[in-house]
Amino acid sequence: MLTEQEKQEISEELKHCERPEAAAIEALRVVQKKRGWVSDASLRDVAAQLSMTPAELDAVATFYSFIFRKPVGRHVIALCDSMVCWSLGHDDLYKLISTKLGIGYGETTGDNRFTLLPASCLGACDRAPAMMVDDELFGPVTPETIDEILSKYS
Amino acid sequence: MENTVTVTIDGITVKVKPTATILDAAKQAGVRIPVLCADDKLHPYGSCRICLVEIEKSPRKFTPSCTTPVADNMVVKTMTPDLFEARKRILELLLCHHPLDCPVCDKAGNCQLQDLVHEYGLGPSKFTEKKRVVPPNYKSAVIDREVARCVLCGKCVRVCREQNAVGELAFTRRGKESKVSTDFDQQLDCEFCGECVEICPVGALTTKQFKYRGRTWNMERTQSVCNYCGCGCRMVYETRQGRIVRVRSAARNYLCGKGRFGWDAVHHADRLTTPLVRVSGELVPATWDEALAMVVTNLNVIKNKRGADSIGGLGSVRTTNEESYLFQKFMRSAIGTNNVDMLARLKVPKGLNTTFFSGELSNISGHDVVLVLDGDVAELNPLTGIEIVRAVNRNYKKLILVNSGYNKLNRIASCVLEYVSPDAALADLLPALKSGQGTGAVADAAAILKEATSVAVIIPARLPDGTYYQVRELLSLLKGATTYPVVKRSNFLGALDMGVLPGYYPGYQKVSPDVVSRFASAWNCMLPEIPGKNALEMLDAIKQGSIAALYIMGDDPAGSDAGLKPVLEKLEFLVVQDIFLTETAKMADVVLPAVSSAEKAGTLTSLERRLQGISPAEEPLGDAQPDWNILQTVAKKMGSAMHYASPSDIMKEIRALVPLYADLAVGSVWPAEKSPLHGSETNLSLLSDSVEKNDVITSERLLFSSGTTTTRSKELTTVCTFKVEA
Ligand code: SF4
Ligand code: SF4
Ligand code: SF4
Ligand code: FES
Repeated sequence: MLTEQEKQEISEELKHCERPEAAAIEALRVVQKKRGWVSDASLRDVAAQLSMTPAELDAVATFYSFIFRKPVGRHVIALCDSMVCWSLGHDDLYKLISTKLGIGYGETTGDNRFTLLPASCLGACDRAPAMMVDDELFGPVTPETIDEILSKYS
Repeated sequence: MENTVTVTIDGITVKVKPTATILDAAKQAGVRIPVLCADDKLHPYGSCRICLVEIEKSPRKFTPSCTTPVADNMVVKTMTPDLFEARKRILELLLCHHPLDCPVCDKAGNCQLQDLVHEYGLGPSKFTEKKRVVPPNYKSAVIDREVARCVLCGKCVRVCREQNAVGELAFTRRGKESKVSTDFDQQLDCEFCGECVEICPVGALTTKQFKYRGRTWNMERTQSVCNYCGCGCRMVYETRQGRIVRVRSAARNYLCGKGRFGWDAVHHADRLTTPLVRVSGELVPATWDEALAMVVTNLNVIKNKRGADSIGGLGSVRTTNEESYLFQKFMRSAIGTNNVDMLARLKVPKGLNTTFFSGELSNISGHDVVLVLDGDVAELNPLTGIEIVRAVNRNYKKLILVNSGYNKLNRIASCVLEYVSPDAALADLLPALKSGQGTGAVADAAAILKEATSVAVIIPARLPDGTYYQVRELLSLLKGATTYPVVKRSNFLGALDMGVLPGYYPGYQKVSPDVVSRFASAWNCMLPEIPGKNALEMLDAIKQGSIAALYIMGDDPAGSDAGLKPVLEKLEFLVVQDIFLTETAKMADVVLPAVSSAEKAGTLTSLERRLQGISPAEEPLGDAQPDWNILQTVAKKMGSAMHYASPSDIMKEIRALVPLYADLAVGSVWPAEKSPLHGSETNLSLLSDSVEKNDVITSERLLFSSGTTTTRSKELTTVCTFKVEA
């Protein structure tokens, strides 16, 4: 069940759209903001509010890597693995983070602090290798700066 | 043609509309371009790239023809060595994950991928990837999903959404993980129309019903018409060794779940195969001679003792025009009474075929606005529902919906009037149209309607007096209104046209001295001069004892309304012709086994007043006989002269006596203005507070129910309790 506030915020988004499905991403984000991720049950509820079928909304949700369809940690690290970042050190950076946190792609630390995910092109090739933590973009990320970045998130 | 552009395709020059695609132009030029994802039913999509062509002077090497609009003086080549190679590469890529399990695939022989690979002659592939393995855990009723065979053309997703407005299927995930999913990959919970199966170019969607039942090249095909609702969709029976194994649409038209999967009722074990007669309280098998002798003797005795008007006849919405015609002729000439009617008249709107004639369904999507006064229309007349969706999703027209519940039409409506009934909605909408009163949805609806220059009005299946006048007022306020009444029962209109009415001879010719003498001389017999009792009056007369015998052809009053059982028990003599031992048949003194519409020839008249032919795909089951033949045999034994070798003999007689049908070609619609009742205040519907005309109930969903036949479809009973929306 969506909370009254979630419903309210989704209706707010709907006002900006001629057709309800146009608000799909924003509506999913409303739920994700509150709950960290989008469960099947919430997706069903959002779909109903947008007059979409769950399958149609899930198509949108699973297309975008920043809509989480599985539980994630308190913070999500998205590491860019596209061409430019890859050629400027993605693999080393991945190894470094993964050793530090003890998790691979798609995994969450035991203390639920971080989830690590690959991202295709963050649009920050000029700052490669780039990564995002939650809504913040970092780059170029180096072995020297990584600790400082991660320490900001508890 | 004004406003055209000139395009040259493989040296052939054609003029086409500027909005045409290169693919359209090629079709017009008679040039074939291979396609996988393009379909006339759907918007252009451009996902498969097999339709690539070369355009002269284009900066692009290859261009997809299905999504690219034409331009003036465009010169297109559809087949060059480069294109051949390009298409080959595309096919090679498609095959790299494809399981190639053609030997066990029901689509083999009719598979666009198989045909293209055959045509382009692929050799060993450069790709050595593992085949995609998708766990086969997509168990659903009716439809099997073999996701591994999918080529991601998106046609199933699009047909379900664009054409059906159901949206049961969608692409989830992305890139090489993409696949067609249902809601969280659960079982299908949809309309089970099978349109996705029909449109899938490969074997990724197949039906359980057809699994391992035959190969497509081994089947005989019989063109016919669906007999489940008034829409009258054209279909094809596919038979193998004389047994139906599959039904498909004819000419790629729509079929709903009933039309596509409901035919299996024909093979149900409950089918009557021999006449039954009541001997010391029990129905026991008998020969035709014994059964007919019993019918004739009893009817004669009752007629002689109590007069012809002590006998009544109830006709059917499932029988052919020829049979309905013969039924009323039998009642009028052999029995000698005008007591002939149908209880199905309880289920149609007042004003049907007098005030409200249906437009052609395919025109619905041409109106500016569709105003739906019956929220259940897409369940009652599925094809009408599809045409409404087409208006919105394909032609971008507006939909105003009166609906207190929620269904697929809500999802595409521009404006929803949430009222419990049409009369409540009209009570607010009419003033809003007249004087601009009203707020909210009503004001929106009125504004949309005022702007429209043509409106399709869907007339509800039930139309009480008050609402009838409201609808008439509504029509007078709209510009360019065309009505589309909901007529659930299949050949209801045909039976009306054929005079299964106590006050009218075939073709709405009123029982009057002129008409009676005309028919009397044509039929060479004496005919009753006074109009008969309608179905409700007959039931009353049975209660009062003035009707002692009832002849029922293809209807089940006791099954529709258990309250009618005690009434029918009062009869001295009851004859039932049916294909199943219905609740009513169980009460009969004689039961005569009829054949289904898959086993006989004849014509049906759809709710559009379109005359269409059905053809037999199977031999009659057991000793069963077509209703027309049973009727003429009984009539002959009662001394009437009826000699018809086939339904077309009967049609000849109909054409001679019924001006509406005189030169009505099969496939055509008879013009509303030609009806003697056009514009009159006659009411062809019946209204009763006490007699219900329910569908024989086992189904929660109207969509899958249509009475005695569908409830005996194995396929439909597996899905009938599914709900429309969660
Ligand atoms: S059977 Fe019909 S309603 Fe169901 S998924 Fe296929 S197209 Fe959609
Ligand atoms: S299941 Fe069939 S129709 Fe649907 S996307 Fe796959 S190949 Fe196309
Ligand atoms: S819409 Fe009516 S006529 Fe068409 S297939 Fe369905 S039941 Fe048959
Ligand atoms: S048919 Fe044109 S891209 Fe598929």
